[in-house]
Amino acid sequence: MKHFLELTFLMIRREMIVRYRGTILGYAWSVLNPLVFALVYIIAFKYIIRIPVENYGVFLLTGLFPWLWMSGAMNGGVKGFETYQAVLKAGAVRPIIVPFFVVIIEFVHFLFSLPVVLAIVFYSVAAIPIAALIYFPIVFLLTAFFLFTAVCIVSCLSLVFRDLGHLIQLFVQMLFFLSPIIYPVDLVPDSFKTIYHLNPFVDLIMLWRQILYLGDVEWHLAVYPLIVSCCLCIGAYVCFKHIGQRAVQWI
Amino acid sequence: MNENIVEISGLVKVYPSFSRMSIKDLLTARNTSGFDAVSEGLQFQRKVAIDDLSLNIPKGCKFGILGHNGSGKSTLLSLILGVLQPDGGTLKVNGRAVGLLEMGSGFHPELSGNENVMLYLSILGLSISDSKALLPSIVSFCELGNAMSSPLRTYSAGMVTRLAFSVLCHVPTDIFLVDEVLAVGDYAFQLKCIDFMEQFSSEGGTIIFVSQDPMTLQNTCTTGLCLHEGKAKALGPMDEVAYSYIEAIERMKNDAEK
Repeated sequence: MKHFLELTFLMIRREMIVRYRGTILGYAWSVLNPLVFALVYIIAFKYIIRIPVENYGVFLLTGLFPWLWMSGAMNGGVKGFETYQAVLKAGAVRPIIVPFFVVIIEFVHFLFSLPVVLAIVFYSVAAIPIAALIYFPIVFLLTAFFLFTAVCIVSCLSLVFRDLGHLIQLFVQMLFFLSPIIYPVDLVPDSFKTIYHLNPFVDLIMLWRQILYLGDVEWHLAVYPLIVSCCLCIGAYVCFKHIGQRAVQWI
Repeated sequence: MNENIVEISGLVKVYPSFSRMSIKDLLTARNTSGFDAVSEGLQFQRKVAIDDLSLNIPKGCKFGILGHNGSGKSTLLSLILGVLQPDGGTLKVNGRAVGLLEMGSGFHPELSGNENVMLYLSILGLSISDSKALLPSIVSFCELGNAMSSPLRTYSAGMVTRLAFSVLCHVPTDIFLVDEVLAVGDYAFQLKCIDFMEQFSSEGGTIIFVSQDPMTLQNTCTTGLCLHEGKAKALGPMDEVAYSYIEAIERMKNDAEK
């Protein structure tokens, strides 16, 4: 267990060094990139489409940054085993660390950008929802558990079916627009709502926005993602038993 | 005391290769000839890498494995390392094995030599405190000096191999697997590696040495195995194994000429 944590620490450090060493702006890039993206969305949705939301910039960012973690993990899961094959081929660790690394390393990027997001929240609203932020670890665990099970399945199946990688990327792109990131969930028509809420990312994004910005946490939102995660957990177990345990022979 | 450190009996390893199949292949095959044909197709595409192999490697032995490209040498090493799992037969390794299947594959080009050493030791299962304790002797063994603080992308292939070998030979282990490495380093370093292996062996460690070159193996190993299409073609004293390997090559050459 200790070794596992140490290896995770070193892998995160490697990721940071690889991304930021030798670049002039270094750390700024990890935040700048999504911020520029957000700026484009603000122009499009606040000024052109005029979505009726107060503090649209803050609203967008508090949904977008958690989403980047989730989508990054899903997309990273596709090539997960290839990315960490050298670790597996050394023979000292089990393949189950691969989905774990994928989820954690994307989370670290999110964590690094968090001060900037909170600074923007503070600047625009003049208050950070401290009371809600306390729930950060719980929402983190909920999201991490969901992502972990999903990444287990995606990474195993994409070893066997190479097409799956492309499908997942498309799917994640679709879910970006089918989650309340750039618009509030109230705008979704009632007739469409039941199907809309089948997407577990909807509740997760809403939860994240509540703890980072809005302040009132609606815990009933956690129920559906948790149920989905438990179902995926079974799938993840089956995939790992049949493919993941023997990942190296599939790479 | 002549106990075996590696016991292999009836070992079979089959690579699945329907990773090559796209969903399209699967669907079209299913439409035209039914599901049975698909599973038959999958069976057919499988590649047998190790086929009913039995052997024992005694503790403290220097064991050489010869064979052509694709004869199953690396697969056998991966199985002993525990990276791959057998599909049939039994494989028992009574100790810890360390080895490099692909030289420098655990390294990252953007990290410095020192950082790579720390990360790689962790990948091999060592704790950070143990790694820190090993670092000075690794640095002195590889003789890379100031280069240790430069990114690995500035290294030559030979330097990367030196570093990889230096890391590996400092990891406490019972079995040391070497896969065609010595060809890359310079001569002085090759001698150093051979010295190291002699010492490792004299302290009771087992060395499994994979190579294409029968001469190198004859010089370093006592017992050996010649693999051909996943089967043991010769097994016994290294000189005899090397002789049968050379003979097989001669025969193939003659057949080609005829």
